[in-house]
Amino acid sequence: MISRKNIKKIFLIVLVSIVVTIIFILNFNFYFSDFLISKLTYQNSTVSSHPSLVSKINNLESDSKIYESIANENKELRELLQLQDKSKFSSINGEVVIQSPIIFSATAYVNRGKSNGVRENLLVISGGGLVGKIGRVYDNYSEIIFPHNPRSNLLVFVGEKGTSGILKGDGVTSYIKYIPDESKVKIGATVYLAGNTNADYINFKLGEVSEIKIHSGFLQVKVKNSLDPKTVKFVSIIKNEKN
Amino acid sequence: MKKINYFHKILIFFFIFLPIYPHSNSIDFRGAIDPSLILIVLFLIIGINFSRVLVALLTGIFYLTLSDEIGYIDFFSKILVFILSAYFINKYYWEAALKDIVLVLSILFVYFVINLFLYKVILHVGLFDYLGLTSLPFIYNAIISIILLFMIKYTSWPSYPEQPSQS
Repeated sequence: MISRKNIKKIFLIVLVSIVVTIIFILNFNFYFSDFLISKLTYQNSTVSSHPSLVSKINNLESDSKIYESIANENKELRELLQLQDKSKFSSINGEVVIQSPIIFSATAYVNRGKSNGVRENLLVISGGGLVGKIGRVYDNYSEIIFPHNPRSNLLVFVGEKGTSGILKGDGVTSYIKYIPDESKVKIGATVYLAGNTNADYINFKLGEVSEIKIHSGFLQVKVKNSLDPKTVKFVSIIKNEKN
Repeated sequence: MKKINYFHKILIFFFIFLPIYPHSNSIDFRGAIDPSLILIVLFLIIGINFSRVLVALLTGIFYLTLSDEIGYIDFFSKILVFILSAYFINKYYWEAALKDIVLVLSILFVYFVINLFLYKVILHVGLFDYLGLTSLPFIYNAIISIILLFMIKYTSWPSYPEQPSQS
């Protein structure tokens, strides 16, 4: 039996949760931060004598913040759309919805699953580059494995000659491995993604070679990639060839 | 042991749950903040009891369920840090604001060193790759831990003892 005190506590927590959720959904946090800034910071007498102007400026500032975040989202979606038009493959678009907040996190969840046609090992990209590949698939959501995850293995092509290698994660970063040491791979060479099915897919650029080491008769190549998979919101899951 | 009031409890609740939603505008510095680690640091310094250990443990398990096999390394190192730190704090620590800051940095340092050791042994990661990934999270986690520690430990609602009145 829950005591009256505990019911009160639970009610309070639920109420506050709802209020905060509404605040975040309606972007009130922008208005709130601006309100705090305007009330707690020093204002000179010229500005403070015109309260209507001050409130107008505050409103404009908070509006511009909202537009900025919308513009960023828009940019990300446009890049995805461009990618989809150029690509020879059809894709499923989705949004990253959950991510473990641990520092060494190397997975995330996207809101597309079996019911949308997602299968294991499909590649996940965004306008900025490679996000990872699909791990476990559930009915309505799936797991994305980031390239630095030790479970991640991807076939890639390096340079103009298309020397093939395996992009493998070690938990912290990812290296291209199993390139024979006689291969002429140079720093600055472009790294392309190889398809699961055929070589038509190599037009997707992953990054550039930034470091080359020799390890047990093979080259170990580090790729300089500007995209941090943890920061991506919208992703495209590469499904199959377009008809 | 410092008591945690309702306001702090509600803040901790959101601090644990909001960062699992990417782009939720929470204080996660794009994935650089680990709330379970910060909770461990905070609880160790303000004092541990059964419910606090339970909250830290459940948070760790919750994050583990959202992660994959790599989460086990992280979970193990957090437990190890917790046990080691609890032992040393109990034995050698005495209260002072400056020592709190040093203690926050020490606990985080031990956590990252244990992780480095485990990653090196299990996954053979390079030292500089590891430092590249962890240097910024170390700073961010330290800053947030110190701020929260001061909020909880060194600030409180003003309370005045009732004055006897004469009628």
